[in-house]
Amino acid sequence: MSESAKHDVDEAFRAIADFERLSTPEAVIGRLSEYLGRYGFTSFLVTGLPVQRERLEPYILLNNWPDGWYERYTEAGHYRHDPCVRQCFGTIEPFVWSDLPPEMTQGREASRVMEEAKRFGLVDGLCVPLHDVYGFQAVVTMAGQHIELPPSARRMVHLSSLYAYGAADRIGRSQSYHKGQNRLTEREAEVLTWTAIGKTAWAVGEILGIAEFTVKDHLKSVKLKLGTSNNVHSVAEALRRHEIRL
Amino acid sequence: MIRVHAIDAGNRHLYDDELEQHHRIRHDIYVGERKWMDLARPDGREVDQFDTGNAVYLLAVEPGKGVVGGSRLVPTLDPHLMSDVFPELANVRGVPRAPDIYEWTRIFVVPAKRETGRLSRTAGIVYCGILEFCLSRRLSQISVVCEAYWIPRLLALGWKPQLLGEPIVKDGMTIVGITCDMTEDALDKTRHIYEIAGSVMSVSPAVRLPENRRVALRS
Repeated sequence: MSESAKHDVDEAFRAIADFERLSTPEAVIGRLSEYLGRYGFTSFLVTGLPVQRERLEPYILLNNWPDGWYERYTEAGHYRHDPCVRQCFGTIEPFVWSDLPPEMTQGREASRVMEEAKRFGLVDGLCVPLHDVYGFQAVVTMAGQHIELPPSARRMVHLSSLYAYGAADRIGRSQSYHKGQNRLTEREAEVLTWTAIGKTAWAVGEILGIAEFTVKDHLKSVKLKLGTSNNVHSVAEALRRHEIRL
Repeated sequence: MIRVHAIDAGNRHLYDDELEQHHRIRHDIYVGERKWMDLARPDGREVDQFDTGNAVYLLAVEPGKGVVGGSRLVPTLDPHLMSDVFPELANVRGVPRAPDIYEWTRIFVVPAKRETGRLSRTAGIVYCGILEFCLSRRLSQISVVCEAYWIPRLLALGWKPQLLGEPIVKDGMTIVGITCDMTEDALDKTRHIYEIAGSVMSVSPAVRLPENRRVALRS
């Protein structure tokens, strides 16, 4: 192993050991910034990727994107046109933006995403796609003005990113568990499960021995907790959060 | 109900059918589906140099249906995949070899038991079987040669995957060498994620002879 490759391996092992013991999102962001900075990455985002191309925000675990870029990205609806997102759904191996096939980046919408990113200092980047333990798509994506990533470093950045994701995921789970306020009550989950298999509010009331308007109240409260706009949306979101199971 | 049977040199004569099914399923999956053509064999049974008398098979068996999933453990003091084929994957920490460390290979779930868009309960049963078996035999760790994408899953399951060295890229996939800790905490977390309550083993793994052996001996 060359000296520089050895250094890349040492740095990655050290960062991984740190990720495993850190307990706040801020601490993981700090350590990941330090580690990725070596290779010219100045920004990164650790997030789940919703299939429905909706808003990204509820899925974000660690946000270290430049100021203003997330707002611009959301407002412009870039998520549905971002070629990196598309590529993540097709591979489980890391890829560099500049290696994306031209047919993915040359479309009008896709090239607009990439051009605007450049204005925020995101000139080239690396995406590490992954699946969480439930099989949902997620990514650790990182970028900068000028990245320097020899193959041996890239392989270690890939693995370190998976560990950084693991830390963010562990911390995220324990925090949402402790916060608790957005979790469905047993009754709400029950009502939503019957709704999910096609029962009307009246039928759910009959099954559970409660009034129809009580069922509707529960469904309203579910929408508030999940930030969803209708019952179909609630079912989808509750499934994604593992609050109900069909 | 699917149960995991731990099959080793002591009881394998009772599991001829299941072991035979398992070699055929391995061929169907690794050669037929995943196209690892160097494992192809004309008799349709996938067997490699690590299927020795010391290998332990943890087979998930569904009554009336047969083998639906499983995995293999090989003592790391014997020749095994990491020591003999991929030692470079442990170029930082070295290939772990100890009486209480086994190597985990050949995890599989038959296609009918995979569930798209959600967790495969059968896979969860096999994972719990591995943990229960290791805890009962006081095996502290397993070593694994696997694709890098296993890492986030193993972290969330509480298996504490530890890298042993640099990865390699083979056929477009990143392969790593890791160890995992076999702990009560890992068993708790794995059961929680797969919503599995209690033991998945066919008999208490502490009991070396399964029930049917005693019947067989009496008759």
